[in-house]
Amino acid sequence: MESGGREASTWREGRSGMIDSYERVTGRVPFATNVEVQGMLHAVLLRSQIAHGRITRIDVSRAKEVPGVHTILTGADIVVRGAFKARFGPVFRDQPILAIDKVRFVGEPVVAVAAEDRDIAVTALALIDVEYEELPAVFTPEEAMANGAPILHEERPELGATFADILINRSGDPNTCNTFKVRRGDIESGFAQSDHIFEDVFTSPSVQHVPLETHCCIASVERSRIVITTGTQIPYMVRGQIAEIFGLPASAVQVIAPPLGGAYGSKCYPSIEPIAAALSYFSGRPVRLQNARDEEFVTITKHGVKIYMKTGVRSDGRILARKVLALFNTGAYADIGPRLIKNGGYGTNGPVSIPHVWIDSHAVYTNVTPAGAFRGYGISQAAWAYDSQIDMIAHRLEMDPYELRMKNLLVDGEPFCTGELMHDVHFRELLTTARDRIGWDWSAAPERVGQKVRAKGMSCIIKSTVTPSTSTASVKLNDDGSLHILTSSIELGQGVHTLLVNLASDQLQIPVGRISVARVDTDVTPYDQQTSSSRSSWSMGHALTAAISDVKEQLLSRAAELSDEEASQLEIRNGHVSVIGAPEQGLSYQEVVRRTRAGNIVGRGFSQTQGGLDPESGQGVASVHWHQAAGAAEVEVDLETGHVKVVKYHAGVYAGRVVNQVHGELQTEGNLAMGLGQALWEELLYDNGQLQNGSLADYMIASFDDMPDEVDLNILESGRPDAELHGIGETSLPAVMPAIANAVFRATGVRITDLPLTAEKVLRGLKALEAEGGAKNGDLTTPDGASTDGQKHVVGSVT
Amino acid sequence: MEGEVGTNVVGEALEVSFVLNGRATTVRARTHHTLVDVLRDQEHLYGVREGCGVGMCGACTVLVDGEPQSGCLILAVSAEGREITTVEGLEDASGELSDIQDAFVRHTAFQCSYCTSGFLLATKRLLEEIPDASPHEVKTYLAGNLCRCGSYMKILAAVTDLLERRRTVALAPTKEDA
Amino acid sequence: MLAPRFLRPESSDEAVELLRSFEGAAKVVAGSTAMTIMLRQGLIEPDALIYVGGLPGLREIHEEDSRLRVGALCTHREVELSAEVRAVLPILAYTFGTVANVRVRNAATVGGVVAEADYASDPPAVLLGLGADVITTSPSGERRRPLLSFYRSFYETELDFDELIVAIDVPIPPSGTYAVYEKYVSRASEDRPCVGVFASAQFYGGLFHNVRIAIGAASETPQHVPAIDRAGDESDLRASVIGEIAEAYAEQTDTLDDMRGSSWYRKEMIRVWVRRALERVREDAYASPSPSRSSSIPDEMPRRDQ
Ligand SMILES: Cc1cc2nc3c(=O)[nH]c(=O)nc-3n(C[C@H](O)[C@H](O)[C@H](O)COP(=O)(O)OP(=O)(O)OC[C@H]3O[C@@H](n4cnc5c(N)ncnc54)[C@H](O)[C@@H]3O)c2cc1C
Ligand code: FES
Ligand code: FES
Repeated sequence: MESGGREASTWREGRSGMIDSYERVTGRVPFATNVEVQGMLHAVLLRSQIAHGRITRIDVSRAKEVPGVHTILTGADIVVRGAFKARFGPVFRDQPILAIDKVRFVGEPVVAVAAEDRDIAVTALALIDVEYEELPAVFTPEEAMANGAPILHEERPELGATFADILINRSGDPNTCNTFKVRRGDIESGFAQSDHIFEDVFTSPSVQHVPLETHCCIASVERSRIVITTGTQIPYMVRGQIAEIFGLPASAVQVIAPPLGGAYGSKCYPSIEPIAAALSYFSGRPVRLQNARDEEFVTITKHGVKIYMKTGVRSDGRILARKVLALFNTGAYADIGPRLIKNGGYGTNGPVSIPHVWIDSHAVYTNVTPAGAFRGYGISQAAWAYDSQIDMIAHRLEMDPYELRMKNLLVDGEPFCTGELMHDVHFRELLTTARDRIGWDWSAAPERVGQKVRAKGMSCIIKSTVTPSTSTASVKLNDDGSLHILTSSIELGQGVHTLLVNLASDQLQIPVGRISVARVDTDVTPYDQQTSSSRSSWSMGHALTAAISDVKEQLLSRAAELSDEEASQLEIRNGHVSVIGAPEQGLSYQEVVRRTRAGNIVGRGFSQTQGGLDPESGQGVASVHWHQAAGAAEVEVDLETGHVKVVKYHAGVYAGRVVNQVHGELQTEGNLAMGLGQALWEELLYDNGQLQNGSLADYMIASFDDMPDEVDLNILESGRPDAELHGIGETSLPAVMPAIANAVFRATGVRITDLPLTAEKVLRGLKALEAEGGAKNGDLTTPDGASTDGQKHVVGSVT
Repeated sequence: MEGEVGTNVVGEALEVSFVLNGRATTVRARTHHTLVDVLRDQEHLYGVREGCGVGMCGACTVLVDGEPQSGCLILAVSAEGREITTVEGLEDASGELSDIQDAFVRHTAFQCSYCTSGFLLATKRLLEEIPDASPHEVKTYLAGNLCRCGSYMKILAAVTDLLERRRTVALAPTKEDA
Repeated sequence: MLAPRFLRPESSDEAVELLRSFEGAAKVVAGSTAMTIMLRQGLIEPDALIYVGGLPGLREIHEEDSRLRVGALCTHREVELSAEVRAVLPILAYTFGTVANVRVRNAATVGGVVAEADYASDPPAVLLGLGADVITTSPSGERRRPLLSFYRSFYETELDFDELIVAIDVPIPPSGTYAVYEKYVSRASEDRPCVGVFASAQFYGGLFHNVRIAIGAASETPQHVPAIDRAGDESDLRASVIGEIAEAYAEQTDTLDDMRGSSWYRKEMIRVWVRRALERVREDAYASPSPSRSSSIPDEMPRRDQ
């Protein structure tokens, strides 16, 4: 390899798909679920069967007698005997490692058993008796906010130090754990200037991420050191929380984070890791804990949300004012809810320019599974409301919904509701392409064949990316000219490691085969804030680029030591260091490192964005740039069964610059599959807090046969070579649900405002229309849909 | 009659022998252990994965006497004498990828790839059963394998490509013909 | 969790003797697709499992005296792809092909799906509609029972604890019979049925005879009401006749509520799908007035080349 790679771009050869494709098709991806540690115990959890109650007695005596049982742990044991904190949580330290005194949702871990094998642990678990005194429970934000409602957390939970920029605004209501507000313009005068005012209510249910690989971790706690291998999107978050719980310096906690078998937001914040660590602390042995599928369903969910939206419109269709009340059901423990409601709050403004905006967004504790991050991070719930509503308004004003959107969409230089000015805006382009590709014609009547009717619908959405944020990366150029990338960005199938390798390959002009990505390990790989919010390619990409620039500078100055030239006379060219203007004479990286006895060259990179919002007005900078998407669906509805089939879908998403076309397509198609399920049937069904469908036999996810016959993608680039990368991991998802619902409305006249659009709901809507004598106004909500009487409720009114 | 189980607290394990990826294998299993349990815990074949445990997702797909089945629904003790193939058995002895794996690589027919082993094994049998499968038949055959990342379109492209290549190979004149 | 004993009898006789010796505390396992789940979820705690999977003689399919006998250990996939079944009772092959996914069909057995008595199943309704008998053996000898009186309620059948299903015996409908099965799935494609409707009728002399309907997945047990079906006999199955039958089934079925649909919705679906099924029977009959053997072949028969 001494003088290879002289031809331009030869380093690009041999690139294909993902860097670890071989492992991916041979079953060899080292998922956390594969990890075995010598001497490890196997743990299982006894979970609460009731939604809210006081623990009056726990009897583990019979379980202790089972041969092979090693450690049995309760919340009380941790409080009494553990020299460590008994509660954790990314924002509030409100979640007990194991229930203390009280249980707050069905599925809450109450007792943990660690044994020599899983069968023994399960056997012992069955011998544990727990008695409760049941307490009244609340399952929706409205119930929780009502006067005299039972209080979930009597004491105000401690605020953690993790997020320097968190906005906390606790109203008087004891079950509301945070409120985010936007105040822009003068809302009352906005409504006064409006010719029409529309008030609607939208709900989206809580759903589950269903990563095929469930949460799994192995924890090993020694006297002054903890090692945890866990399937997580944010290893530094796990490290911080574990260090805090055990009162150890961060340097004493090592978190190893293998690639993930799916996550979609579910593996952001610690859930089972503290339990495994506590078991290991007491047993002195490494402990493995993995969720069974039914446990995954009660570990973390997407927020169910109810949104009251009042929008004032001038007679020409221009939106002048919007007032929103958003109630996010955050479940029994806050997780990231208090932060998510900020995005879900300003998100309700939508991709439109509105002079007068008033938004109140609440995270409310209830007695159901904690809700946290989910692909879209509060935006898909917001988009469900605003994009459904703009379609409804168009219909009421007898306007083309495409034209109405076009009239209101944000353009470059206009302010968002947070006051920041928009840049790099492409909504109109995206929506127009969606219109053309789906073949939109407002004047065309729905197409009817027998009992089936076909029609089209569209949507357009805006999403922020987490701001401020920080990523760091380092690289090691070895003495043979090969490169190591050290990053804490997690590979969860989105191809981030491949992207980083390709980026490094381009910048150092060496083939990908000579670049490796180190295993993510907080002892080794540097800080990254999170692998979520579709930010990694952008944020980590910047950090890596900086690290490589650092290496290049060092290479040049090292090379200068070996030649007569000043470093400023040298350049990196074709994988070599050469004199500017004399590309044929160059030193290979290997020569530079070896001859200067540098050992290796370590480059460090850092990338940070700034921003933040005012707690009272929500004004400031919410996002360094804005993710943008449009969707268009063609559906076929069976008028006799209400069954909806999506026959064609167009997804348009702005990528800034496409770094990997195939991965962009995969993410966008994946969003479609996930959105389809959420549009049509996905929903966690609770009966008095008991989950009814916590199994894949009962909770349906989209299969091959559910995909539209035709899928059309528009991954839009800016055309500028230096365009900013816009993450597209989530962007196209929020557009799917409203696009489908809008198409169903055009097909049938049935407007469903509460997701999902089950066949039964659609049929009930059709019957109601029939009873009314046809689809004249078509604005009807379904009988079991969000009805307007909710607005009379004191909590539930935006007026 | 064989297979008495003792009175140990969780039941004693029985010996079960089968052919695993071409190799005679004996494991020990308690009655309620599934094939997934023993293949992962004792044979360390991590390409066999549990996704749902109820037959719905196909992450645990294995070929039993050549036919795809859910490893999570097979009691290991009932696998006596069967021929079991896992994803680890798809490569040839030299570690060369099969054409199926190669097509999945070329089309990047995966994201997290937790589901991939299952799709590869189901595809293997699909290609044998319906060598001229239409896209509709491919979808229906593979619909029982779920991919939460939603890599379906790329999987369809990979399988379509495979069907074509295999047909081309089948139609190409052999040496004797030439 | 005390793992049950696992016993492998070598003959049906030995199997039923074992069943008797456990006095109800032992369970038969065939394809294990339902059993493994029940066991793992702790829904049952038998003392022993009697594995019949490998028993000889229970896996044959043969036709005799206008009846098709399908061994209890035939897998769903074997029935689906059997040339014999496709020739004489294509509707049966089609129905077994609609169950679950390829993997489950490769394991699940005919005896298992009949014995399990899960309401959300496909084959039981079709077998009921076809007038099938369940043939069992026990230490007291062989028995034959019509499926019509086999199902009691949720997961409950007439089977005694020491009885083993050995075969299903299905009369082959007379020539000129048209049969369809409509599996209506209300959520994702991989879901079990919300409602399944079987309909068949014989067509000659310009009229339909022997109209038979069966409804699955809508109530605790599959429904077949000869008194309702008679309205179609000697008729031309005109819309009003079909409507009357559909309405009667919708009205008389004690529909249940689950996440695939409410009781109200299921009644609606029975009305729609009984009508659609009978319309298809009528259309098929008019389209090809003399089918070669018996039932019409559904359009979507899966194929297997090897
Ligand atoms: C993912 C999935 C999807 C499914 N989808 C569908 C669907 O769409 N439609 C549908 O109809 N069904 C569906 N099923 C049900 C499936 O058809 C049954 O699980 C299967 O038929 C049971 O057969 P088995 O041989 O595996 O029975 P086993 O699991 O071995 O036994 C089931 C029950 O039957 C008893 N039994 C078995 N054989 C005999 C016998 N010969 N004599 C007496 N008792 C016996 C057992 O004791 C046990 O109680 C689905 C199942 C799964 C796992
Ligand atoms: S784990 Fe076996 S099918 Fe899902
Ligand atoms: S690639 Fe992740 S589940 Fe299929």
